[in-house]
Amino acid sequence: MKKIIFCIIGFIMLSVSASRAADIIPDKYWAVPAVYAMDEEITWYFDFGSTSPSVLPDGSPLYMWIWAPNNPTNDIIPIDYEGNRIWKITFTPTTFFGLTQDEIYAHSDHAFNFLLRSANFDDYHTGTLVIKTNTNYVGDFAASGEVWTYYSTEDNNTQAIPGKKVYPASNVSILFNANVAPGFTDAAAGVKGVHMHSGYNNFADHTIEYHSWETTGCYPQSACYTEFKHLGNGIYKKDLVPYEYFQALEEDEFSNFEFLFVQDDWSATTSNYVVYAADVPIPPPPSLYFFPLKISLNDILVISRENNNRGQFLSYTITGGSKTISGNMTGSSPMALQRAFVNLVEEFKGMNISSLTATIKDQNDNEIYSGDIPLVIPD
Amino acid sequence: MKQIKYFIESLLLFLSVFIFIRCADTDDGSYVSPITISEKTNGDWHLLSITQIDETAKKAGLNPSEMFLTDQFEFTTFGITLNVDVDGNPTSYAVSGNAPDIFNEQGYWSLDTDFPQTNGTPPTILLYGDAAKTQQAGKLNITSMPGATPEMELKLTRTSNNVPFVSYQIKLTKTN
Repeated sequence: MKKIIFCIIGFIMLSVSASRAADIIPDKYWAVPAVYAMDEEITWYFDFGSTSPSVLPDGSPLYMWIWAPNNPTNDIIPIDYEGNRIWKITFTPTTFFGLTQDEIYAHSDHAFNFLLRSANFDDYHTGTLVIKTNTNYVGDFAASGEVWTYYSTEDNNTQAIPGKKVYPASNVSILFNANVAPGFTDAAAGVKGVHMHSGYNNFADHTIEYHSWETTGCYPQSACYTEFKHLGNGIYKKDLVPYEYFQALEEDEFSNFEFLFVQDDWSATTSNYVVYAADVPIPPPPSLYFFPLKISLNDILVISRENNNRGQFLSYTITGGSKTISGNMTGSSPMALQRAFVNLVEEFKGMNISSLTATIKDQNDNEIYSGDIPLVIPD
Repeated sequence: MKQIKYFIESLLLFLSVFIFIRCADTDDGSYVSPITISEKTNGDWHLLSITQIDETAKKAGLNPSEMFLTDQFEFTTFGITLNVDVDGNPTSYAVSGNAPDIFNEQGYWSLDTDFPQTNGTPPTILLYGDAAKTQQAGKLNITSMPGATPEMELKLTRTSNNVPFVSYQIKLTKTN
């Protein structure tokens, strides 16, 4: 009889523990910033919008039990109620765990393993979460040799894995490597800072320019507001939520934000780059070509550029010997195609030259192309 | 007696057929010279369309290999007059209009063949800078010969080391 009672009690305990294991799993959880170095302060948010208030009442205490890479306090750690059924915890991984960045990345679990548990110790509920740490986004970016990249937390709505989808309210991290950007020597050395000169929808709305002369205070367009954070070794990062950063409403039209990296006092700039909204198809890259491939001075030169940025209007300058001509490139759909027909027969007739030099710029003086066009001598 | 009757009837039938044959006078016609290419091509021509062809890209299978130029510059004003002498032999030519000078505006012309070739090779208009036709200044392949429709297509090809690199396909309509 005792054995039977023991078995029944054991079975009930197992059932309770099994049901507790999956009780409180947030609908989604994410980190701000989207990408962080382990010595940066981060905040994890846990959204329990779908969890029954009978299991986890609004604003009730919630705790974290973490065991990998270690348990820094050997106890449960309280996390804060943000409101709207979202809880959060803010900490800096290196100081929180007492480990270096390398030790965190090298840990065999390659993850922050923890469970969340509700406060009622007589009938508590738990849910286990794993946040992978085996991708060193900042380190990988620095090793990639790319000038820039970006991440958002919106790609996967159940795990805090950075992705590329961007909505107006997304947490976006933009990474910049001054070591590989021409002219950013001072920024690479950490002597000068890097700023973002930017605007919504290809600069059509809500521009946040970099006003290098506004150095007092931190407000939109000031040097402080537009500045990137130096993570060290010439790697810079800026964390932003698009609609907040650009002083827009979340419901405002958002197809992209366009920007360029600027070294302090405009001492160096990059080309323009664009981060597209998640629902906007990323257009194919611009394509510039000269027609025909081989040309003589007796022919018609056609310059074409496809897939232009919105609002971008191009012009050309062609120099042959002592003569320089220029003109605009046109198109009925300027984003799709802008083109110029150049009558070399008339413009350079009779000149003894073996090549032409062509330069193509947009209306903001951004150079699209500069190079020589060799001329063929017909039989 | 009956046999004689059959013989006479057969003889009359034969003679009647013979008489008709003799009445037919065979008409061999008078001699007419075949139509030469210069007869078809001389006169005033006006541009319908012009396309620039990138022969390098075309050979490599790259795009674009053609560019429509008709509505550029003033190509729509392009005209060419191919003159002939009283015997129908090519003499001088002159380009009219304000289109870019993709070949000499005036000069002399001849044909490399008087009649279409059976091997399909397009006949060619040879352009010269001098009346003696010793200084060749270009050539235009006749890729489409005027027929019932008074239209002709010429192709100007530029070569470098005998390799074509660009050509112009010119479609013309006869105006006179």
